[in-house]
Amino acid sequence: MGKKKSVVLLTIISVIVAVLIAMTFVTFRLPSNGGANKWNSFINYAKIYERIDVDLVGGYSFDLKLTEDSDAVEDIDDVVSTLKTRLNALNYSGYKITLDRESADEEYGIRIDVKAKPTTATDIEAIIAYGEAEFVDADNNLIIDGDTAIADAYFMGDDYVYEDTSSGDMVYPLAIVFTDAGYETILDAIIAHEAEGAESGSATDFTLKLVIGEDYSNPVVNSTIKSTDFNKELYLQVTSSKEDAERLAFQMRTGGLAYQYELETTSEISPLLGENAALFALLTVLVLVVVICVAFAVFFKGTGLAMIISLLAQSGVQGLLLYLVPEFSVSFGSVIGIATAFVVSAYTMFVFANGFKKQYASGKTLASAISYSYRKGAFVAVDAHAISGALALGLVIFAKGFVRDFAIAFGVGVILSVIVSIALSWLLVKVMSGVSEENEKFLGIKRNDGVAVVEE
Amino acid sequence: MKKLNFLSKSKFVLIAMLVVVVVGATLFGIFGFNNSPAVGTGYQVSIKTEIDFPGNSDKIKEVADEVLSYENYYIALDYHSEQIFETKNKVSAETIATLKAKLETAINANNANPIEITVTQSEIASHTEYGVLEASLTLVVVLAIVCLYLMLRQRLSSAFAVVLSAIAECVFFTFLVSAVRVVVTPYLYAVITLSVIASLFAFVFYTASARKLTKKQAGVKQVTAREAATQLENANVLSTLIMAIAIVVVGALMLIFGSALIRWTGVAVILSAISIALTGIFVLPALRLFFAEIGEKRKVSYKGKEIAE
Repeated sequence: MGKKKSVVLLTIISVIVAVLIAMTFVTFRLPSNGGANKWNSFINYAKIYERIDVDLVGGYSFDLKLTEDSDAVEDIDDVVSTLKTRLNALNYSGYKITLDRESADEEYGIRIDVKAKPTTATDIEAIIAYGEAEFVDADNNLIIDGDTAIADAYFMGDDYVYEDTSSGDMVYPLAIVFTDAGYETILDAIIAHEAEGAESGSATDFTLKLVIGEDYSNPVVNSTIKSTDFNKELYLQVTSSKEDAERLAFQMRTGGLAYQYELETTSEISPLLGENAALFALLTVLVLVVVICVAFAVFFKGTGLAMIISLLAQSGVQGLLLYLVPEFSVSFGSVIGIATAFVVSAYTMFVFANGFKKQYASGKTLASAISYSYRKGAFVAVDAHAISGALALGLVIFAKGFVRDFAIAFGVGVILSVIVSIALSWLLVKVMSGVSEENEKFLGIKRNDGVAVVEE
Repeated sequence: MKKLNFLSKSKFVLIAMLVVVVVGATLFGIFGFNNSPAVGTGYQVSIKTEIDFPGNSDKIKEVADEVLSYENYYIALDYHSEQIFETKNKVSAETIATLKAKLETAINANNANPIEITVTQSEIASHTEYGVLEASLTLVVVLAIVCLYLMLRQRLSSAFAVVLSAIAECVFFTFLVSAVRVVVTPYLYAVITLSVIASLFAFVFYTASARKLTKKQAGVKQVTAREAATQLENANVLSTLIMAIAIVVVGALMLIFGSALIRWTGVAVILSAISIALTGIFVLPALRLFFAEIGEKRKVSYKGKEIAE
């Protein structure tokens, strides 16, 4: 690559990387037409702090206490399990549930520590909602419980909200999707009821009721239904509010608590990992980046500089890509994931830079040494990225909590690393050789003693 | 560099690793992991002041630091006038009384009307979500994929050696944590995953280099598996130690600067470095040589059969 072309390319790439990094951290203002638009740093604008989990920046702590009306808790693990399912369903990955009691003959109090989100308070209300869903007939005989019968339940969306002309109330429709077992059991009950009616000569429609928390006097659904009209989806009308419709759908989807707990206190808490945990995590990653960059600069000089720019570009773009992952949380697990992806990238670039140095030393021309080292090193790069990618994908699918945070950050980093460590670093090594006019000292390369140049 | 001949010491190191695994597994079977209160059971000391004066929070922390041993607790809840300290062991009634007395002295020293301070202790059981079973199953599936991939990319001997070594590393690290009774935090499983990734990288790099040496290439003398293992020994030890030292540095940073939970995780990180180093230097080369020599013997007997026919 010619010097002029290399300088232009290097300038463009450096400016893009610098702007990306600056936009990430520096707060700035752009002129606007009369308005007072303040353009924040990317971190502030994107409200990254809302994505940081309770282990790094703290959040809220909710103390729950069993109500006096509630039955004695037989299996506290079951309560914890339901709370976990519900927290996971609302995308709280890094949370902590603590059971505490002063003596063995007391009931456990429950403390839930979660990250601060604008919806945290309402989410916790939904999470501790009491009562399992049950489908019963007109005489309140159990047909099937909600856990077995309901595959999904959801608020149908703002487009389906309408005003009831007779009462003037707004109606928020909610859909219940039955499992095969749920559908068949309820259908069998309807058919049996119809057959019984036909036999006795006093046919009546079947009454299907959905009750929550054995509250038979206030069923959520109370409708008459024929076997010919019954299908796998049932629509309900909630008239109180959209939030109630969403909460009810959530409760049916995830099951309710078998015991009635009330919220005793809510407190703002410091990070679970201790004060300044976020700063510590940031500094750890920074130290890692600096150590790797210094190592590249010392061992590979100009070639190392190409790798450093590539690594910096990776760190900037990785932040952006992680932001685009819906509901992604930045926990200590994801910090480890980001750092690991960074190491994968550095490892691959080390293989390329080392190969280039060796090939050049053995007598290849500069262009051929670059091309050969990247061709040969590509196998190692594919190995490293294939293994990492498989591991990240598997963990994203199966793991939970902090390990899942780790896997998402690691997976995104690995995808990015394929582009950065292979393509961008290759381009930048070529640019560096052009800028330096193939200066051996600048590029940190030299021929072995007595080796003749091999033209290919 | 002088030839170090680690390969000949593999048997002894393998026996020592096996002893650690047996001890760790036995302790795990009897007591489980030495869980921190953050993932298991423990106690919490809750301190509340009647009125939230500025500076109360710092005074509570100072006194707690003095009375409760800093090594044994971490702050689970920090909310101005209310602080909760979680400890692994039960704090004695005398210590609680001392704590309360010292808090009253520190907080009420300049108050004309002393404020009430309550110190209570309760037993706790913590639950966090990290999906141990799911993560373990994933590791097994991924190792199987890596094995298949390496069978295609390298040789069968490399694939078996890498995967078995990674499994050995994972098992050894897990039971080492149990054997030395390191306090386990919610991040242990991330550290286990991380150590498997790091070891897979080091191992694949080693087998790729061995493959390069033993591969039939025009104009390049082909070497036997044993010769390759000897030739690669110094480079392998060096690269594995560099990786292990880098991991130890990260662990040491966590140990020096982190809070209690990070410090305990830091100890696990340092143990993972030891595990990677031992497996990378002693187990992997021995396993690779074992499988490669089986392959070589088969090849020789096949060729002999061919000639005889």
